[in-house]
Amino acid sequence: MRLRESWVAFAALGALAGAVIAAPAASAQTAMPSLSQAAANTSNWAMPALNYSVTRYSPLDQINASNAGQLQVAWTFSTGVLRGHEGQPLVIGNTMYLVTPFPNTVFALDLNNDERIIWQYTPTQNPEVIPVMCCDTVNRGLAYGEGKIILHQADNTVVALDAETGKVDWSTPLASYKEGATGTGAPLVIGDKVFAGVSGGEFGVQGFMAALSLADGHILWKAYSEGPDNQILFDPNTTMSLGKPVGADSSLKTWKGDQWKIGGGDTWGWISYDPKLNLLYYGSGNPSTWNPTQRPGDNKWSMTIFARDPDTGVAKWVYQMTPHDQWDYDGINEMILADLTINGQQVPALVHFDRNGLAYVLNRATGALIAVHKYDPAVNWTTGVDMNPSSPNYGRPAVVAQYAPGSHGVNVNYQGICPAALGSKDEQPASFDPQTGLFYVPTNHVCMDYEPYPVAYTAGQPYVGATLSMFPGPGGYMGRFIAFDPVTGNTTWQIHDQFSDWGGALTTAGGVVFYGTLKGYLRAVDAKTGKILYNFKTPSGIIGNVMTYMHGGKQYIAVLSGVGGWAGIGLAAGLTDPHAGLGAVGGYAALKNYTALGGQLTVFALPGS
Amino acid sequence: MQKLLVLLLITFPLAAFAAASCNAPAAGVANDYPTSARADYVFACMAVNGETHEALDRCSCAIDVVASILPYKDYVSAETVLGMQQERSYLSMEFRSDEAKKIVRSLHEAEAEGEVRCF
Repeated sequence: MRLRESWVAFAALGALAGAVIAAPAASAQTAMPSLSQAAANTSNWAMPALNYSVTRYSPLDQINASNAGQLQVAWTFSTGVLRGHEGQPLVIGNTMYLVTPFPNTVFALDLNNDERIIWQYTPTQNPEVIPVMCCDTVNRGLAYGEGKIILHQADNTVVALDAETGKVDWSTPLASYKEGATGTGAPLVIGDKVFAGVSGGEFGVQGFMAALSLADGHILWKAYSEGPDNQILFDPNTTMSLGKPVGADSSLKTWKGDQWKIGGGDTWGWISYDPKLNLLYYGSGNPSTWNPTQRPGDNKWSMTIFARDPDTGVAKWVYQMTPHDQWDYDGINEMILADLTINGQQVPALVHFDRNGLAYVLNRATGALIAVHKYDPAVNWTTGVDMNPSSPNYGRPAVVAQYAPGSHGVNVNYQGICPAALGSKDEQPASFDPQTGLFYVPTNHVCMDYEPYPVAYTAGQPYVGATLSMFPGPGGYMGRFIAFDPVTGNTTWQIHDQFSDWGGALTTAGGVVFYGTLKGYLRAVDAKTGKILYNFKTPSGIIGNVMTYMHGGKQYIAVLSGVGGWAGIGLAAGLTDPHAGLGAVGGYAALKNYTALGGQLTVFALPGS
Repeated sequence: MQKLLVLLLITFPLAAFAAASCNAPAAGVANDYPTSARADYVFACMAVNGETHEALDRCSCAIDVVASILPYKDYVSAETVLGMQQERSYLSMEFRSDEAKKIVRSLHEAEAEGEVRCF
């Protein structure tokens, strides 16, 4: 086991913020590949979700159901940064690239030389961005294209770094964090373009997807989630929803006055792409404010699946999953592009496990709705989606008033709503295994009591307006890791975990599925049976996504761990009275500093060379 | 003789300290905690109580007492709750529930025992 730490270089960073620290070149670098070359090499992990289809299925099979139990820690890397470590590293050839939570330090590690740091880059960002980030200072990973590493900073600036040196090539701010816009989502490179969204629905930010030039970073188009047609880039005649053209002002008609200007619908999730159809897919988040009675209407196109032309930004089709959201069920989760056999026919499907607890199957070419099933039986806010094309409510979920916070006005406590606001699943990505035909989904089995209250909007301030408390769903556990068929709605097997399963899944040709738990266990599970083959405790909770790569003829499994601060384990012995005087206060400060152990990347492999 | 005196001088204060304040269970009584988990606790405990031999002994004693009372799996659950409560996200809300507080309570009780026996 080899240990690599970033401490020394990190210590120097205080004085060198925004600078690149590069080690002297040791190994001769060959010219960097194009993204399509890099992605075609199955040893690499060249995109955030491995491929454009966002399946997170690797054809690597050295690690299989027979030998996964022998996995060992091969090497580790301390990021030196606290807080939640979501996302996953990239591997291109002999280099691994990873990004930390704020301050978003990027590391390039040399896999040929004991994972030594080739370069590291820490952007200069105003710390004022930290309190604007609603949901921790996470970053969901880097993108790669044509010799550049693309970083989506916390302050919603997109930066291109030279993959070989870490030098900044270009830097483009998308929206201002001063108004609540932040960046957490992984960008995606397609051809000569970079795509990135925005976070900030809790601050009333008008969500958008942006296309930038990979060559120089200039913004090619921005397509908003709500607003007039020329802002949302809809063609009233050709942009379709459930088989019909959306018509003019499809968004404006569903908002009161100009509420759409602070309407949310942010785009902080994953982006997929179908090269054959030349369509880009992503989802939009919750409408703002949270308090539903303050924003009457369907609030289009929040909570929506978008299919856009990546060249022009114009929407080909849209589907709103949760009209007039009353729960904060953001629709940003990954859109998995899988070709499924349905009723004997091959269908180009888009499969989406929404926060609202429903698994959607659509035809990704047309946006036609194929199947919708609850993937957690606890879901109670809806009885299901109307699947009758001739019904006036076609495609809409039937809402159960008892569990709908907008149904009886504000200052009413709605109890026992399932799922809770964090959804049956949040951004933690599922994986599709074409060998079993199943989707492997890390889920939250959590319910809530929800009480909305009125709020006024101020730019850059949280625009929330609800009090909520969360608790375990039926059965008393909060995490379910499931093998699920979204066409039939059948759960093949499930693993119950005490806490939410918030780490992303990986499937492999070896018949092994991997995921991490909040307690910090990295698990290898038999994809067919759900049997746990390997269960290893990493130093901290896992909310990162498991990835795999091949190097030197050996398959590796890697995952980031790191959540919150150090537990503090109560008060730590000897410090039971926080009011015991200056010594104790100093003690608390010392305990806080101890949390500086930070996140870790743990990399596993089979024994032997 | 001289040697014996030196030995006494070295060992006596430590022995007295151990007898007075560190009633840790004998090694091996409960040992399902990985050494790294114990070390983690001791490092943090020493950060609070000082980088001294005395703190090292007291803190080691405290985690040994905790380990003798609380199975490792329950320690991990409590550690997860306490860590996640520091997250600034939705996710932290499920760790502020009454259920989560119950999980932490058993650790606090074990720590209180460690406090009494070691400090």
